[in-house]
Amino acid sequence: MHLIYTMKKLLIALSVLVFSCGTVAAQEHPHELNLFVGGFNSQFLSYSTSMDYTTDLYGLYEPQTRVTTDPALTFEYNYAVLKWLSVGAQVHYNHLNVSTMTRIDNSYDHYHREMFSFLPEVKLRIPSPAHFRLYGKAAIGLSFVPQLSTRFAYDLVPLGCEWAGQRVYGTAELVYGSVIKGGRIGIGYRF
Amino acid sequence: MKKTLYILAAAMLTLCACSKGADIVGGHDYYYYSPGGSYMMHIADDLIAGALEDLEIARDMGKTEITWASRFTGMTIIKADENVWQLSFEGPFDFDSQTYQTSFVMTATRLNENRHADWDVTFTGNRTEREGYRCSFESLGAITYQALNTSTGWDRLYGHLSMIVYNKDGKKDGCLLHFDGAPSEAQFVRGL
Repeated sequence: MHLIYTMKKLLIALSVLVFSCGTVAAQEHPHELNLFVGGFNSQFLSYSTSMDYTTDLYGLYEPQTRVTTDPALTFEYNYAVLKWLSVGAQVHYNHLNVSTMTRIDNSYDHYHREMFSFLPEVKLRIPSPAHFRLYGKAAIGLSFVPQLSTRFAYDLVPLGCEWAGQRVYGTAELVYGSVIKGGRIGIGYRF
Repeated sequence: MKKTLYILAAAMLTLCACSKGADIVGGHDYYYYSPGGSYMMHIADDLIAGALEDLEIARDMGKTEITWASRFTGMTIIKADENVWQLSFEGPFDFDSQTYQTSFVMTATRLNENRHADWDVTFTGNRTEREGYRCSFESLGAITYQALNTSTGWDRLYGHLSMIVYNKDGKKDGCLLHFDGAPSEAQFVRGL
C-alpha cells in the first residue's frame, strides 16, 4: 500500500517536471518573435461573400458589397513576464478584394484594400513537454482599412502549440476572432 | 412644369432603347432585362393586368368582391358605369417571390367585349418594402391594355407608368416606363 502511494507521488512529480519544461524555456529566453500565415479574415466575412440578387427595391438600389481576402500575415512579439505568462502584441496584414454592384443601373466596381490590425495580447502557457509546448492567447485591439472602416478587433487562440527547438521553433494555432478565423501556422524565434 | 417633364422624359426615351421582354402581360411569362424596367413591369403585369383578369372573372360571376382564393382576395369592385369599374386593393402582394404590403385604386374602362377585353386603366398605388424602401406608382393618364390574341392576354400596351422610389432619407429615384405597343419594347427611364 505504501509502495503504491510512493509510486503515485513519484509519477505526479515526474509529470509536473516534464510538463513544466516548456514554461522554463520561456523564462530563459523571455523575448519571442513569431511570424504566421493563414486563416480566413473573419472581420470581412460579415460582408457578404456573394452578391444579393433580390429584385425588391432594396436589392435594386443598395450597392451589394462582396469582400474576399487572401491569407493573412501575422507578426507577433511577446515578452515572458512569468514562466507561464507573456504579454505582447500582434500585427496583422491582409489584402482585401472588394467588389460592389448596384443592380438598378448594373454598375460594378472592383478595387483592392489593405487591412492592418494591431492587437495587444496576453499569452498563457499550459504545462507541457519541452518539445511540444502548449499555450492559449487572447488579444484585443483595432483593425484599419484605409477609406473603408476602422473596427474593434479581437483574436482568441484557445489552443496553440510550439514544437522543435527552444530558440527556433515551429508553431500552429487554432484561431477564432474578428480578425482571423480558422488556423494559422508559423515559425518563431526566442532570445 | 409637368409638360416640360414629359418632354424631357420623351427626349430621354428616344435616347434610351435599353430593355427587352416578352410580348404578353397577364400571362406572367415575360422576361425583362433592365432591373428597374423589370420591377415596373411587375406593376403593369402582376398587379394591374392581374387585377384586370380577376375583374373579368368577377364580372362574369356578377361579384363585387374577390372572395375566392386569389392574389387579390379582398379586392373590392364597384361598377361605376356601364363599362367602368373601380377597384381597390390593400394587402400583401407577391412580385417575383417578394411579398410586401401593396395597395392601389384603379379605374378600368372596358373598350370591347372580347374574352380579354381591351381596357383603359388609370391607377395609383404604393408598396412598402424592407429597410425603409417604398414606392408610389401611377399611370400618367390612361394606360391601354389591348389584346390582339384574346385567348392569351394583353399583348399591346400604350401609355406611361410612373414610379417614385423612397428610402429612409426621402425620394431616391423617379422612373418612367413608356409603352407604345409590344411590352417587350417598353422603354425605361430613371433619374427623373
